[in-house]
Amino acid sequence: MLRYILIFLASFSCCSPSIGLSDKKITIILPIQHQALNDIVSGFQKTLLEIYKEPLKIKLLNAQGDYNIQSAMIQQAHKDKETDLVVTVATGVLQSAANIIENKPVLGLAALYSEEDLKKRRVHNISVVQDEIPISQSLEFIRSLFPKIKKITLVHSNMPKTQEEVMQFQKLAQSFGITVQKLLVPNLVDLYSVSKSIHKDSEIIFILKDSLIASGINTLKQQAAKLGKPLVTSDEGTVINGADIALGVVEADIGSQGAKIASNLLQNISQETRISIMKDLTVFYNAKSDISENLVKSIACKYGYKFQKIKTD
Amino acid sequence: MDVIFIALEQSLLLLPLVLGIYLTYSIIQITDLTVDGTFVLGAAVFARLITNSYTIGISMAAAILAGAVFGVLVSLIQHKNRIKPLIAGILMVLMLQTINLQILGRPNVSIYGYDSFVKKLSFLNDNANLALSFISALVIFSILILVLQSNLGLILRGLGDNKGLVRKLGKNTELYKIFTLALSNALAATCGALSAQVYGYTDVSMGYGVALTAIGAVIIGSQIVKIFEKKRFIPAFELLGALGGTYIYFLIINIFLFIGLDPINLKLVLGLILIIFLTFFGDKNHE
Repeated sequence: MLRYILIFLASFSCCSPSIGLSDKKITIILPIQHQALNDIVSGFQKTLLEIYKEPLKIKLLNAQGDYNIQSAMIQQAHKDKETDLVVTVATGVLQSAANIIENKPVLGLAALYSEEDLKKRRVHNISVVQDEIPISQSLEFIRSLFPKIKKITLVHSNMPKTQEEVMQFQKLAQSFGITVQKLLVPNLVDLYSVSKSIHKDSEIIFILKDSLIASGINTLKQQAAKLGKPLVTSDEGTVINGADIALGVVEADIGSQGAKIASNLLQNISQETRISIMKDLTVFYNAKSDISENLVKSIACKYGYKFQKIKTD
Repeated sequence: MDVIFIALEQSLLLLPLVLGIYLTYSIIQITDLTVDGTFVLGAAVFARLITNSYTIGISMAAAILAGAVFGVLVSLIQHKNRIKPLIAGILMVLMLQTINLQILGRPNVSIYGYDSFVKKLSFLNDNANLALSFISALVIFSILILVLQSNLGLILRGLGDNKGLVRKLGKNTELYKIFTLALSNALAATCGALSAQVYGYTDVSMGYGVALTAIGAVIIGSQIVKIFEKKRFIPAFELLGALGGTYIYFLIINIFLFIGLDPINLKLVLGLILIIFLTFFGDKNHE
């Protein structure tokens, strides 16, 4: 019985999908199921299909949070001779792909990859679209909204890159005489109990771009409402789910930026800038927020940010 | 063909951890989930040291030693059945989440460009990872065959089959349990350190689910072995069975990915396969 099962499984080694010789093929790999990541991919696919006029096949894979599956996906994309470009979303996947793939271009969306690591590479096949807003801009935005602010509660997870951003934020805030209460949330289930520790004298609750905390935004929103404090975040999704205001990038725009780079890569046009930073920021304003809409619009105008009003249920 | 070799590379890379689980699950018959944490511990210790200019030798040795230390600790927690092995393992994994984060200093550390065994084998180009996985698997395989063929291996098997008898023979069963858990978690840490070199980074969440994957592989492998080896215990066959089980697991993943099965369904299918094996072939004597 086992013999027949093994023969059946081995028979797949002879199969290979066939596409037109001139068709370019892109494999997109996501690490987990998350709306923000799906929005990035939607923006990527939509823009790419608009600007790249040649026949194109796009294969979308989601590792569902499993490193073994993620690794298998990257390996298959690496060995698949028909894949012309590998697109990864988020930092972990890019790091894995960058370590394994040197024979074809890799484009990382919403990922961090240092200039130092790029220089160390034998083959310069990595391009990155970073969506990080400089901490100084986030803090400047908060200080513009709340000029007399003295204390901020910063709720964060231990996800990659968050730790350094938290330290940077604290250091910068202190230079303006603002105290930062840091609340670490190790797991989503801990968010409720951690949120009970928000100091009463804290003036706002702030979240960096942090997908774990973003997943539990409703919990924070309830706590913020009880304490009568505004909830300021760094992405559109959290405002849709109840946060007052956010300074961030439209997720789909990250994908769109990536699509322009992907189009160049598919046409073998030399990609001079390897790290592309999102410059167009948007202020996402919750229509139900107590913060004055006119104030927010004027601040957005002052800094050249787009303004997007979000109506929630 | 690619699917076959990708599955082989992945299974050889995970094999040290699977063999560690084999020792605890099949030999001394204890379900130890600590490897979820010690896998990351090995990767974390290696990453921390290599990025602080320590040599590969020292970084690997420290990683292996760290795994062994936590294996000893989890065994002490279980001492004289004060805490059940399953609970002890879960508690240790919980504590290791903090410890691993403290060691790394942050949740994700890139080791790309630092010295590693993969870098030393870079002349093999695309085959460097496979070569590293194969060499490490071969070394660990050889050591474990020697252990299992020795009197020590016999006592360990006795410990799993009939603890009372081993005690009556005047052997300190707790000491042998400590040894096995130390060895098992040292193997998990080794696997973690090697994985960090292959992936190019260490992440605090990279160990999630490896224990269950390994247990599943061991169970599948033990059924394969039963087909060929009905009466005698032959260490080489047993360990090859563990490799076979791991390989089948990764082959299934890769084939389903290749044919386009959505990974969200893939996990359901893998779970069902493991349930079938556990229900019909699993050993009910485990603690």
